[in-house]
Amino acid sequence: VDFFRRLFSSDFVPHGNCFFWRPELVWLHAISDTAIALAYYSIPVTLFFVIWRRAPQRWRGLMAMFGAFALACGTTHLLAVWNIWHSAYRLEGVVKALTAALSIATAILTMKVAPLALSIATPDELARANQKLRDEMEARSEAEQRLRQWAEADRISSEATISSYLEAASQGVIVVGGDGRITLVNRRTEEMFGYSRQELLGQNLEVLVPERYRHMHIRYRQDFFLDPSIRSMGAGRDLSGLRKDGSEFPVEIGLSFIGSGDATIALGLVSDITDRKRAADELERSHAELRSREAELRSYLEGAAQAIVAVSNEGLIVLVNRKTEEMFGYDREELLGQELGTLLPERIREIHQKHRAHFFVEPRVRSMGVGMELAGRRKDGTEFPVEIGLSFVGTEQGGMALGMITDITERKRTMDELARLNERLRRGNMELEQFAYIASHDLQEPLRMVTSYLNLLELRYRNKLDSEAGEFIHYAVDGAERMKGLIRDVLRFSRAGTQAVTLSQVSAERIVEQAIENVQTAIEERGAKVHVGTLPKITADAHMLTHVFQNLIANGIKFTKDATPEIHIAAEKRNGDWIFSVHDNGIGIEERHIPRIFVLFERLNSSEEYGGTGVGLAICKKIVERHEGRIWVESAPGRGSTFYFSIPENALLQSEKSAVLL
Amino acid sequence: MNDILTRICPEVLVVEDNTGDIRLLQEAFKEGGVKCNLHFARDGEEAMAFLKHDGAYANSPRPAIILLDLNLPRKNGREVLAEIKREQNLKRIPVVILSTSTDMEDINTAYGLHANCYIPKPDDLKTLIGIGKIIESFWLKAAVLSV
Repeated sequence: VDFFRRLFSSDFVPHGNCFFWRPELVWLHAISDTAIALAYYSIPVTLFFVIWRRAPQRWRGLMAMFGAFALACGTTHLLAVWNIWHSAYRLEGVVKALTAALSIATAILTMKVAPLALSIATPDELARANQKLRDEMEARSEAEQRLRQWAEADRISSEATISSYLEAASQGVIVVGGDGRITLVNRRTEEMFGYSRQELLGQNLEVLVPERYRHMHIRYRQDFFLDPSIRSMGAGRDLSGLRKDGSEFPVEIGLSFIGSGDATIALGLVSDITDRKRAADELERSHAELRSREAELRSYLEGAAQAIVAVSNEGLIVLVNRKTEEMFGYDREELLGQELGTLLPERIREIHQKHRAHFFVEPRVRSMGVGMELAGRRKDGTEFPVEIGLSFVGTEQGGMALGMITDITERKRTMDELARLNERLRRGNMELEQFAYIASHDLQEPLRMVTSYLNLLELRYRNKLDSEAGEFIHYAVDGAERMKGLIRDVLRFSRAGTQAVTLSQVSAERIVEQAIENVQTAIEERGAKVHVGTLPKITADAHMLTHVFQNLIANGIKFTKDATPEIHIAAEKRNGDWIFSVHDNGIGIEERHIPRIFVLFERLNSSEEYGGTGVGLAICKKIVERHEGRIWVESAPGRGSTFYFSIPENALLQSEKSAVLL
Repeated sequence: MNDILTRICPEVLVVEDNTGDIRLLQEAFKEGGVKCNLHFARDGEEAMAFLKHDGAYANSPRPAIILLDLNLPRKNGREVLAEIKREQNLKRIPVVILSTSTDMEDINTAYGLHANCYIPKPDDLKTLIGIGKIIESFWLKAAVLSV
């Protein structure tokens, strides 16, 4: 402890005394030791620099040790200088001990790293390696130089190509930086939006976006720059561009990008799809129209009162309507794709198949199975009569036969009913005719007996009976005679209705002549005058028509009371008919009676006064009607009557008629 | 003598089913003073038997003239007429149709079957008497008949 307390004390004789303070010795030692110390001190400084700047990690420990050892050596020499004038021999000894320890440690460490030091290349080797390195560097530099030249040439030519591509592109090309400003546009873009290039460059992209989309577009643009990818813009949405003039047009935009990070630029490829959109709209409209037409047709089809079945040329059902389901009792699904035979009774399937094949060979619109009894077959197996209209529809899938089916059960029933009624009527008519025949024919026999025997009574017993008996006989004979008249008229009427009408070309003038002759007695009795105009040749039954004229003339005379009867007969053509008129100056007919005068047995006057049975005009009517004409009268009381009747101008002759019927 | 002009009382066959008509004809001929022997057959078969001398008519005379009604029971007048005109022995006997019918069809049919005359039965006695007289004066007196 005392030693260390005195470590810095100079309680000994300074070392200069050993030199006897001889200045040459003192300064020789002092300067030499100082120089050694300085040299030693410079070593760690240098090492320090080497260590921190260059030395590899594994050498650092050794070098630090080496530095400390040099520092310690330097200090030893410095203390030797100090001790020339002082006597800190204790301190000098301690420093020497420390230096010794550091020296030994350094020596050991140096021996340990000796093999490592041996592996370090020699300067020659290094020089050779260096030379090689230099050669390689030179080669690379040359290559780089060449590459740079090539790249430059390439850059220039590809820029030119890209630029010409851009200008020629049919799409508008717009390049936008991350800030949304337009940095490049091509010619098509100018055309499309109506801006010049100068107007657009540097502008915000949203200038090309319609106002209402701008807000959204900015957001989309920013999102794009956050995660750029190649894609089409606004997929599934309708995009619009805004022209300089404020008009809008539909666009389609493809998006791309170049670069990354802040240097990313976005590339938009803009197509004006106005035309395409118009075409698409047009297509859509025509589709919609087609759809509505189809719906309309379908509603017709479904609403049809007939069952409609379409059949492919393979005989498979391809379409049915609701009425078909109803009529045949099938569901639509049960019928589609089925053989048409499903709807037919088995007995006609085979023949139908032949007819169908024939139809597809020579399709035309027609009724099916004319004159044949067609039948359909329901799901429950029952049959029903049908009528079928056929038509042919050509489709892309080949021909289709379209059958329109009417269930004629009801009609058939009605027709059967009608036929039955007709038959009953015919039979009734026949019975009536027979009755008329019996009434007119067979009744005459007993009547003739009555009259004849009354005559015999009168003849034989005229003188034996009193006047009263004679009167009774007179009434009996009179009654019998009137009855005979009635019977004769009924017979005539019935004959007018049943006798065959034998048409021939006849002169109406001749017919009227004959009629006048037939009623000559009446004419002479009354001194009547008959005026006949020019009459045509007509086609008629001469015998029957004579009867008509004769009847009308006789009537005219009969119903002229006070004056001399004057009859005018004329004819005129009207609407393909000959209209004959028979005018008299008789008593005339009250309008209210007119409908009754052509009715059988209808009489307007007492038989006492005018006679007749009320059959004559009924017979006239019947005859005219059998000539397919009509009869009517114009009359007023006191103004005479005009009877008209028509006879068709072009009535078919009997032979022609039968020809037509055949 | 069998002279054709010496027919004192000619035989006349009347084919008529109605007794009223038979009597009426008798009375009319009587009233008209027609002289002849009237024989009556009541239907067509009887008429043919009379003409062919069948059975009960073995001794019937051959009539100078036949008055034939058309509506007869069993065999009607048309059939009788056709048969008479078919028979070689009978066809020369004049047949006068006396019928109620004025139907042209009946009339034409009768003439078609070679009836010699068609006279509708009149409705009154006076006319019938006249017809009787005419038949006598024409067929039984004026005309010369085959025998």
